[in-house]
Amino acid sequence: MSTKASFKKFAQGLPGILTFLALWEIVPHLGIFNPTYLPPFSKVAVALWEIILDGTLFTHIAISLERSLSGFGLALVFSIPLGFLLGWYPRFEHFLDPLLQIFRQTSVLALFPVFILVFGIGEFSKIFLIFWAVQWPILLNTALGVKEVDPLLVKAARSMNTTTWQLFSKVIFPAAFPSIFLGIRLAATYSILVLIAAEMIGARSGLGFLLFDSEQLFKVPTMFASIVTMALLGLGLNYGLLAIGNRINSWKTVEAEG
Amino acid sequence: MSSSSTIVQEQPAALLRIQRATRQAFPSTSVIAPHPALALALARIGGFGNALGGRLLKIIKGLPCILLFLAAWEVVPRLATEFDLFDATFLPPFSTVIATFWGIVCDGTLFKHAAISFERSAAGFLLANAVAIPLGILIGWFPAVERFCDPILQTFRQTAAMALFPVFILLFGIGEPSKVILIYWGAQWPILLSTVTGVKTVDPLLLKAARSMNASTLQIFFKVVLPSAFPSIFTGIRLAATSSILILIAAEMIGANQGLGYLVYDSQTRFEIPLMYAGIISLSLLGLAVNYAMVAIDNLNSWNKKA
Repeated sequence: MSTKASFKKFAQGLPGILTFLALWEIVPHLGIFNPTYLPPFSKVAVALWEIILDGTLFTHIAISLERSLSGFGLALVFSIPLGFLLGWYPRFEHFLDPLLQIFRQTSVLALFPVFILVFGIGEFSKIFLIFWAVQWPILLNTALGVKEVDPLLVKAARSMNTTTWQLFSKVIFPAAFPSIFLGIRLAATYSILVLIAAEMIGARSGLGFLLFDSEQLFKVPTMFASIVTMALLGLGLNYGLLAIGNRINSWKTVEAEG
Repeated sequence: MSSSSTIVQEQPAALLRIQRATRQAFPSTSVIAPHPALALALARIGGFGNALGGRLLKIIKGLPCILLFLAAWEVVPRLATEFDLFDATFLPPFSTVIATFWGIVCDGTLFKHAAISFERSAAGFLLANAVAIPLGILIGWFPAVERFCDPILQTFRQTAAMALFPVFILLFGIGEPSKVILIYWGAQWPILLSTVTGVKTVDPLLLKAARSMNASTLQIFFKVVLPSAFPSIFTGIRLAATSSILILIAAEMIGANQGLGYLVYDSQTRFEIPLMYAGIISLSLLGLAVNYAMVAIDNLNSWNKKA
């Protein structure tokens, strides 16, 4: 999507967002809900501004980002090669598939206690949890992408006497890339959900902790401010990845579903 | 007459498509296939049988890997205690875990927690279906509604459901409603978005064909739009089922005193490690069962893939 088109789409959607914010401002004043539990938007914005100014927000964002990026990096390094192996050797896939399906269906958070036991309550158990959650979409989409490379391309390259390495780097990888990238995008959304849950369950810092802690301390505007931050973070991540994907894939039109 | 024959020559594929589409949309008006319902039923049974056979083969092929995994789970902790590699209290052998699992199956603990988890997730999930499918059809059908709602929907969708759990607790209390609403909230997005996509991407040819045969709006909706959007809606339902389990577990770990998520978390804090693994096994069986149930329902819809 071009910048102009996306800007137009944004402008068209502006009334929806403004209506929502207006409702958020007005509804608490109507007294349907207790306004202590649902503060108007202006109060939340003030609270957000305060935690931006005193640096609290950035400390927590930095820690959350550090965790999710480490887990993500680990998943990229580990899952993409494994995905290639799975996609390229059907027998290997037949062998491993049932186990992978079982693991994939085991909810990530169910394993969080195990990771805490094995890796301790420090950073590594959270990083590993994110790695574990994020690797499934990447792994499965990489395998799928490699499996669905047009056989004609592979045969054509072989008939021109390419080496295995050339075949891999010039044909299979570019052809499988859109699918891999889709996996990465799914993983990014997923990683935020898992990160927040992990930080709510067992952490002393990070956005999830800020949220949980402000709820416990009954600082409701701060709680909403951290939710707004998470929403913006998720949106930013999604559109950022979409933009990167479109740039790298420019030779091939990707069906960019928001 | 001559003009219609040139159309046939020029676009036989398109015409065939219209014919097939009309036959699908209005089986009663069809003259060519006298018993479309019977043919459909036969195809369905055949497709289901094949799928079943294929799956059985797949399971048999995959069995060695699962057995290997279980064997490793049994042997590694024993070797670890034998040679002092790592503390095997954190990873009890599979047989111990299965014995514990069997224990909680027999004394009804597992059933009690599973029933509560199931109740919560089913309530939230059904609520999500009831709200998101009609809303998705509305948004998909009226482009103006979509343009208006889209940015706000995108923002909400990108807000991790867990982030709103504290809000739901504040608004709905710490009882059941806040958990049910959280699961509803998390489950509705995939359903909503894929319903919108499904309704938006109905083949315009089908709509035109139906309109040209003077179908009323209601008929078009029930005989054309809904059936052709169904596969996409169903994909959303499947995604929602998976994500509702994830959210259920997180919610039960953070704020509950019953349910499978609580069982796992609680047994970890009380250091009852085999019990924790037994809880995890039951969660992963739950996930597998939900997934396969969804796949099986999806296969009943085989007419759409074969057509």
